[in-house]
Amino acid sequence: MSAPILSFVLLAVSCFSLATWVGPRFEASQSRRGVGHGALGNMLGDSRKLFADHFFTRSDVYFHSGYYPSMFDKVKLKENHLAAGAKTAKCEHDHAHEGPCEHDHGHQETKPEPKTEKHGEAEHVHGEHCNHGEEETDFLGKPKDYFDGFSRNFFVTKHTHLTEKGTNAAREILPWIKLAAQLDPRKVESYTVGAFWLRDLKRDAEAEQFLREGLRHNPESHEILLELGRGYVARHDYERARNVLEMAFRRWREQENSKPVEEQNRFAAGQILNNLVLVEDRLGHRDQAVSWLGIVRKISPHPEEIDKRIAEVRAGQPFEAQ
Amino acid sequence: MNTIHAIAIVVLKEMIRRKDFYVLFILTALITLLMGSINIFNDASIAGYLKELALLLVWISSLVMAITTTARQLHAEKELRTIFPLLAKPVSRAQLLLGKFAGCWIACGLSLFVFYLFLGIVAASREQSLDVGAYTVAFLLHWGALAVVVAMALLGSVVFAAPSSNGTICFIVAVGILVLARHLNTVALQMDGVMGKITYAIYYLLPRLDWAFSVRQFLIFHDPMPGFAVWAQAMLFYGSYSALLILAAWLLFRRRALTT
Repeated sequence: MSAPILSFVLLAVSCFSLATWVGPRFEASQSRRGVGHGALGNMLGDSRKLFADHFFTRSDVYFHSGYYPSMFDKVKLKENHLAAGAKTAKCEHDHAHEGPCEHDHGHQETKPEPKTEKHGEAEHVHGEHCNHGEEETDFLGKPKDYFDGFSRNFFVTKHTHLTEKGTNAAREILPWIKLAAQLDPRKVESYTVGAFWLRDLKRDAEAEQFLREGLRHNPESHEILLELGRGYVARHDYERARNVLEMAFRRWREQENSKPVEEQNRFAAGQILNNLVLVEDRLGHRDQAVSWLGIVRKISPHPEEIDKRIAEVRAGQPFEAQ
Repeated sequence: MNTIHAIAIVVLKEMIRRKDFYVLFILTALITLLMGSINIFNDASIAGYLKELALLLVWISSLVMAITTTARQLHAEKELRTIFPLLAKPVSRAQLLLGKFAGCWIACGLSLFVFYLFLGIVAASREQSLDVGAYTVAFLLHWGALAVVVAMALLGSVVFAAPSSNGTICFIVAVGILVLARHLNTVALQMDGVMGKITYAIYYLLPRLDWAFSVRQFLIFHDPMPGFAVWAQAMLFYGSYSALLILAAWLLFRRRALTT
């Protein structure tokens, strides 16, 4: 064979070898990055998470009927928080030397507590500006000048919620949540919050479908399983609710048991267990209900209240989820 | 007055002949209808996101139309050398500017009316109701704000050498005002010294196009529109600002050599 033909064959073999080496690695890297999930994923790449966050926040803007701080207002609020923090720190210092001072200690958080707030839970739809202090509920403050005062006639300055504007008004939130879920299928909050509002709008079938879609993308999520369980409880489908909630608690244990106590999401565990107790109670399995309450007692900040519940369940009184 | 009217009619006819409006309208309608066809949890009555998107597209289209139409007026007249017989009629330079302004503004108003009509139909088909008064107020404020944009582009066509540079700069300025004007005082208060004062001065000097832009929220969230007194003040502001910009354009244009 002539040299040019041999060179061509060598080149073709080299190309083929290179392709067999590069191909699997490229596919592996694509799947690691989560690229390839639909046209949006391909088009936006990793930036889709930013868009997903934006659209999720947009749903919160809709919930508050447009009354929402801009990024400039957020900077101002942050500065106010820092100022308040500095004031508190100064006060703590003064306490050591001069005695009590009179200002508000609302921001004094020196010791980390286990997570017991509703953040990240389905009921907690609010974004970054939720009400943690007086100044945040009125982030606009007084008009800074005449123009500022006049400008306020042209945008929303009254804090209302969509739910106050009719029984079905909350549905306006849904497109943004769906868009956020499509852009970032790993964002668990999109599914739990979406399902919460769908159930609120009496759209149980859609809520379940949406949560199952979320579970396909996030099989390890105890939050989604909890929401799914809640849906079954609401529909009195206790057997399925028990299966799902038990799986949720297993997932919670897998993920949270290894963490230090103060970092554990105990609020979520409490929610799962409360629902499990309710389910077992409704199914007439009192012993199992008491057994779950025993676990609740271990993680609850108020074990004496749980003791009362245990006594009630043992006495045959119906359990109501707290 | 007749001269101004005649020039305005010519601009209006030119707008009808050109494809700008048709392309923008079809694009807006297509995107809106496409987004409207998306199934969101089997609920066909969700309208907020669609109104928000459509209003944004209407704003973008109206800005593009107002700026591109106005920016090319004087340049086209100069390039085709039709400005010489026009000014020899006799038509004064002030009349030429006023005629061009009126023509562009009315043309923008007519196309804006079609856009809002489409928007109203889309919203009504979803919500089964239409607050005509609210849409009228939003439309009039939008049209008022466009008067400032048209006047700004007219001034730009006297200052800048080419319609492309004029259009780009006007578009950036208009979008900057829409997005930032409302927050400039907050930013200024967070700045120290001279820069803070300069920023506050800019805040006072800017034409507040954002007022008209912000009322979109009232349409989306079904909140009451600003009252007549507020609306009238805003329109007066837009009118005065436009007059100032046209005056500035005339001051620059009256002694400018027309040969390029």
